[in-house]
Amino acid sequence: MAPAAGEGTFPSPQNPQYGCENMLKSGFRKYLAKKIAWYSLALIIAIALNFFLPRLIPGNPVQSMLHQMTQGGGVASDAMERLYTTYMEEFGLNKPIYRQFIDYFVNVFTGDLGTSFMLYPGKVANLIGEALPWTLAIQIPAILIGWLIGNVLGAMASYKGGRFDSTVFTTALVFSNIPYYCLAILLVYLFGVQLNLFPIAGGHSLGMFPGLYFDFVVDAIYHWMLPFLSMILVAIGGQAIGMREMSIYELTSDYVNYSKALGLRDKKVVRYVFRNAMLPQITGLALSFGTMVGGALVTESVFSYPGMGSLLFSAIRQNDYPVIQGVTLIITVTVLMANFLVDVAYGFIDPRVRAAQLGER
Amino acid sequence: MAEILTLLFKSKRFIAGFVLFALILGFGILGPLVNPQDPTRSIGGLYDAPSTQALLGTDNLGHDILSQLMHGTKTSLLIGLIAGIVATLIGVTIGSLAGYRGGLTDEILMGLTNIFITIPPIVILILLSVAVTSRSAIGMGMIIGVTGWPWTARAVRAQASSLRTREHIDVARITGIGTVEMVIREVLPYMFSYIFMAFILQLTGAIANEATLSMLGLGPSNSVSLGMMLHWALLWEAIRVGAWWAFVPPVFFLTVISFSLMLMNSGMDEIFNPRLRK
Amino acid sequence: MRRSYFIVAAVVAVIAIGLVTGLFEGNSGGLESPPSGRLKREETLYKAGHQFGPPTSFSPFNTNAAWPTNSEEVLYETLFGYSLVSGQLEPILGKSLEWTDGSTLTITLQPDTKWQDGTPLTTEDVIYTFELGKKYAVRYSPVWNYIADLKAVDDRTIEITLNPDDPHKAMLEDYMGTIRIVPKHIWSQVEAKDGTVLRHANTEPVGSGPYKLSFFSPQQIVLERDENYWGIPIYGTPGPKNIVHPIFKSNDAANLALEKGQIDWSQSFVPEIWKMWEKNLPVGTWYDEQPYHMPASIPTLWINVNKHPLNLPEVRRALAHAIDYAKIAETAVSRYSIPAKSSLIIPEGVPEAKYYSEEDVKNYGWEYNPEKAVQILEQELGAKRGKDGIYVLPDGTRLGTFYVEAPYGWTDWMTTLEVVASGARAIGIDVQTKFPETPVWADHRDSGSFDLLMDTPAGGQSPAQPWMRIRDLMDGRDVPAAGEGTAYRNFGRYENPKVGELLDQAAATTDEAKLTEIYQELNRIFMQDAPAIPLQYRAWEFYEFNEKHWTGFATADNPVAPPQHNFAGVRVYFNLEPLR
Repeated sequence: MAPAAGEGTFPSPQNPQYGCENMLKSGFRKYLAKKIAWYSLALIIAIALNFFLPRLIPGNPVQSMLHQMTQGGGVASDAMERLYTTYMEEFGLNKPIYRQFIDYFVNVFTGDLGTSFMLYPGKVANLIGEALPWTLAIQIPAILIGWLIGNVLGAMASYKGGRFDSTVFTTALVFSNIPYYCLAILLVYLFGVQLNLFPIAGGHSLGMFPGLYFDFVVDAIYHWMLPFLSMILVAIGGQAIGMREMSIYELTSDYVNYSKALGLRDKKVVRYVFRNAMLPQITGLALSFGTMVGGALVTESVFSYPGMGSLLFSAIRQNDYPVIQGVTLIITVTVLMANFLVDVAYGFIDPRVRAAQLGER
Repeated sequence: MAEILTLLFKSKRFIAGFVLFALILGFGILGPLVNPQDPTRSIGGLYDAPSTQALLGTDNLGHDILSQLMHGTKTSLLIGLIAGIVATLIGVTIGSLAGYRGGLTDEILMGLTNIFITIPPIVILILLSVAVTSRSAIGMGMIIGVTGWPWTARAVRAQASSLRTREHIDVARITGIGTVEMVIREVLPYMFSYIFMAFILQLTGAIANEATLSMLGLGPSNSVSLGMMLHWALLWEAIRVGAWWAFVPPVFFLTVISFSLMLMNSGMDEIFNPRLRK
Repeated sequence: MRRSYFIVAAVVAVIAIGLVTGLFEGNSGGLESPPSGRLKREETLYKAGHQFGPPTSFSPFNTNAAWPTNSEEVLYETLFGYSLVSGQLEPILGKSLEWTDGSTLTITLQPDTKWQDGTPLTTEDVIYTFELGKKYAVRYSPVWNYIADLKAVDDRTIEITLNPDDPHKAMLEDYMGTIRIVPKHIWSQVEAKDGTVLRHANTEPVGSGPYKLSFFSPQQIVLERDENYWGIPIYGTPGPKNIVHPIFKSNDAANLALEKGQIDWSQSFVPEIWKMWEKNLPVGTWYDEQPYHMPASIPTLWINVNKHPLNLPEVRRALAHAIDYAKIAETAVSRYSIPAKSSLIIPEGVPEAKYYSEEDVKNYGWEYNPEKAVQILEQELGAKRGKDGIYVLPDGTRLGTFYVEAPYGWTDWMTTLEVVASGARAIGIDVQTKFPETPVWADHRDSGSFDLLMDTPAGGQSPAQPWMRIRDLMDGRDVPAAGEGTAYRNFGRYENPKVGELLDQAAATTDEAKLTEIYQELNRIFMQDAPAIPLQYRAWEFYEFNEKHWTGFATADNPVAPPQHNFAGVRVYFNLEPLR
């Protein structure tokens, strides 16, 4: 998402080796406290943005909600006024803005993401609870398996070189540079519509009841294949390129040349090379878990597949701000969590990092 | 600047990317001039197949897809450009000030940057887009731009702070010029190639972000962009009815744009980061 | 290294198990054992067009409850159901309704009515439901404006006394056909627990209709026939054993499924539906020719009548003559409308057409006629064409720029307004379109801060039409002035004391001859003052079917039921038979 992500030349959380003149001999605890403070601040700012930005829109959400609800008649205009006051109270919109913010803030921390405008009295937390598993079912395997295959391919490409390398490199380049939704659109059209190999919409067949039985599991996997494929191809591409670059870095580094000159066995050198190249890749994996909710919002829309993207899409179409806010909050929290864990792990593994980081700020 | 360009044109990848991008740019700029047809005028029915009347067929509202593609490319590039410029300007200002000044300024600016770097940009993009009354193409560009700067800021700061201790800066400092002038005259020129690369990355990201937002239903209202073309194609089920002409052209263009920019970028990487050259 | 592999594997396993259990945790409303397997196609009817977001509530007190709660009479039932074809309230839970004297409405229930849980449904439930409207703000609360007294005579009979201060029989009848009756034994517990009926999501609904909720998820809602339905001796057994409503993300996904025969019956805007039968698909609508659907509501161009120069009826009438109504019907609404006329009374199809006078429209109204528009501007107003082609009034006011608004993304409305704007500019009134996001548009409308704006006044059909529509368009009473408060009707802020008087007279009478006279007079006032301009005569509900799997849908040639999904439209289910 961020333009610099995945480009080796930019400093990013996975290689925070800059500005480390002034080494502090502080303990892990201090480092952790500092990290917690920063991430909490980021979270508070994110929550504040989440609360205030949608409130900037002119017009009253309850008014437009009432209108959309009553589109096509059925509610006489006499009833509107009373409904309006009731819902204003119900959503707490009649309170002063600072009070609303405090309520929102407290509620978020108790796991209450509020009540949907358009799906009243549906709880945002429940809506997300229903949508999230579908998204994760696509994203977690795609990220994991894509990471594994991508790294193996990248390592092999850098090691073997020649035709194999250029084939892998070009293919990976293509897949990682096609915007993921474009790839998804082409997949639906080719495999779903033209070749008729896969279903083109939904998470399972219509008129089928979800449950843990053979027919359904097969049916669900069948529906899951295409969206999964669209995500994993992109993941493989990105990982392969990253791994290939890291491996080439290592393969051309001084210690490799030195070992070779010393006549160390090839196999042993290669093991060192890939172990070193893997380290940033493992961080990369952890970070991509952070993007598992927000990284494929459009995919579901393309495949008409249930999940967070579809939930967000319909919420945006209906101006359902509490749901939009809930989805963006979950995205924020997953990203913050993943980054935080990576930072903590780094500080734990490598004392130099925490020293550098403490010195930096 | 001229030196950099001659250097850049030594890279085949850069040239290939540049030519591709120039072609798209030309299509987006010249297209609407050559074909002044209003892209929002109905000339046919729902998804008419390509014909001599409409070379690329019509969309869900009977609009000519070729005209839409021309205007859409223009809008998408415009949004990308505005966003790229805004993000780079903010990023470079914050990054170079922080890097050059160091101390408290650095602490505050980088603290801010680090916070905005951890909050996922898609979230701020969605929230900002929801919050504005009417999303014009220019407004979208600004929105995407103000969410994209932290990466540039952080990168530029790293460069600027390493420049701070260089000799020529010390020399200039003796002459007693102000911070702003110093940054502009003595810091920025040394980072030009770096900033340019960052700009290209911002541009790539911004065009992709426009498409993502549009497909989520938050695209520029009242105008045609590549993302909006895909949005309508998805909403009106062009894929499932097999109206390929409604979605293949924008998909192709978005892919080519992102590919050409990537080629340019990796070409620059080759030149400026010799270690990657193999 | 080994140990970290193990940890990774364990984490993955835990996540996988979590996902699987999360995924398959369906909502099977009240059923002991969750249903499983695949429904048989020959027993299942697929519907579309009512539900586009995840279902969260099946409470009739939530205006946005999931299908079928407030959109069909299959789960909860009303006492009576209005029919577009007969113009009458037809029996559902109620057997008869009559005005036993000038001010008493007597309602008799059908014999042996009962709830889906077996509890008998009596007048006590009916009275309880009505009284909830007095306690809480629900959609039918205003019914109490018209009721002086409500009492049960016995467990089958209710007497309602009309409020002598607001003796509006038609509005009271309207509510008899729109209030969905709920079981007292369940909702009184909800009330005791929540202190209100508004917050209860009611995901295990107990209704009185022929279908029970069997399962719902964000992807589909499934109903199952209640084999013990109380109405079987009276109405028979509905054809489909199950009804499934898949939840598509847009109309168009639903339309595609309809074309393929995956959907049997739909309530969605299907553009150019005739193309489907050109392809020999067994698809149908109410009429097999233009306008295909029965016109029943009037999307209208509202005019801010207090804003100079739009406060001049001549300007408004000139604008009305500049709009190409036939073009709107042809392009914007896919021929699903007859060209709009200068009438607030729908001229054909629906029952209210009996009040329509073609002669009045000829004498007082307008039609698409650019020369006439120019003539009004030049001769009646003495306006002069400026250099830019736009007229300027003698007092120096330029006719424009006026902005005309519709919510962004409502494509048929947007196209309609493009026709309006280009027509106006062609005769010299500068009108430009503006498509803000829905909340902004709603805010402009309610606060009166617009020039021109598109919206539908009182969209539904009921015994109280065209009264409700005329009131919503022209009654200035109880409507705050622009900028001074929120309006829920009469967004243009038109005022004419004569209108209020006539509306009150219409409310108080049931004499058809007198009603015709009053409504025609109101319509003439409308035509002379042009406080708004009708743009389309649009269907109340769209009604399309595909007879690939089920047959027996109602059409104009075979009117076994009206072309509705709600109210009297429920009879369609009882006429359906599977095709094998």
